[in-house]
Amino acid sequence: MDDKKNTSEFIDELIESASKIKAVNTPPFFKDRVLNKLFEVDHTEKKIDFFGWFTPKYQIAVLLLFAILNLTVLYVYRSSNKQRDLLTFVETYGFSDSESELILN
Amino acid sequence: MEDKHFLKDLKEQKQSAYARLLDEYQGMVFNTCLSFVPNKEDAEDIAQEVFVEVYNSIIKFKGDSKLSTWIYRICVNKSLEFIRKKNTKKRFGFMQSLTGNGVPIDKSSYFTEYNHPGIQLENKEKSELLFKAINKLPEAQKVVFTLHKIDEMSYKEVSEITEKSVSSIESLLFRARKNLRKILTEYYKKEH
Repeated sequence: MDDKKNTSEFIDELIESASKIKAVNTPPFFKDRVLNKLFEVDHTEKKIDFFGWFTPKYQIAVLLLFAILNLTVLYVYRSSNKQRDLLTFVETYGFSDSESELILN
Repeated sequence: MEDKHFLKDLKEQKQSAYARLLDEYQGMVFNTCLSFVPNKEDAEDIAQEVFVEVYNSIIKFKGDSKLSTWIYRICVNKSLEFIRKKNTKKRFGFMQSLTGNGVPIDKSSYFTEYNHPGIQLENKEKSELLFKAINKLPEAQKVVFTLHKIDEMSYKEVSEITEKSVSSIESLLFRARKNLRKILTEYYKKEH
C-alpha cells in the first residue's frame, strides 16, 4: 500500500518537475551564424533566379518552336531542290520547249 | 506603428531588421526548441531553421496574429518535424537491428543525447525519463503539455499558438497528465 502511494507521489513529483526546467541563454555567436546563413541563402537564390523565369512550360514552347522552324526549313529546302533537279533533268535531255524552239528558229 | 515599419523591413529582407528580430526572439525560439528536443546542439539547429523559415515565409504573414505567436507556431512545427524524422529513423534502425543489418539502438530515445543545459545535474535522470514519456504522448497532447508545463505559457497563449479553444487545451492537458501517469506507472512496474 505504502509502496503504491510512494510510486504515485514520485510520479506526480516527476510530472511537476517539468515546470522546474530553467530557461537558458542562446549559444554564443548564434545570432551571427543565423544572419550569415540567411544572407548566404539570399545570394544563392539570386543566382538561381537569373534563369528562374525559364520554366518547363517555356522550355517546351521553345523546343516546339525550334522543331517547327526546322521542319519548315527542311520542307522549303526539299521542294526548291526538287524543282531545280527537274529543271536540270529537262535541260540535260532536251525536253525544254524554249530550247527546241530556239534551234528551229 | 513601429511594428508596421519593422514588419515592412522584415518583408523587404533588410539585414538590420533580422538583427533586431534575432535580438528579440532568439532566446524564446531556442528555449522552445529545447523544450521539445532536450539536446543543445539539435535545438540550436532547429532554432536556425526556424529563423530561415521566418525569412522565407514572412511575406505570407498577414498580421492576423502577433508576430511572436506566428514564430512560436513555426518553432512547434519545426520541432515536431525533427522528432518525426528521428522517430522514423529510429523505427528504420530498429527494423535493421531485427534483420541483423544494423546496430541495436535505444528504442525509446528520439534525441541524439540528453543534454539540456537548463536542468540541474541531480534532476537529470528524472527529467530524461519525463521527456521520454512525453514523447510517447499523442502529438496534440505533447504540444500542449510542453508549452504549458515546460515553457510556462498560459492557456490563452497555448490556445493562440495551437489555434484551439481554451476548453480543448484544458481537456488535452488533462488527458496528457493522465497518459503520462499511465506511461510512468507502467515503467515503474517493469523496473521494480
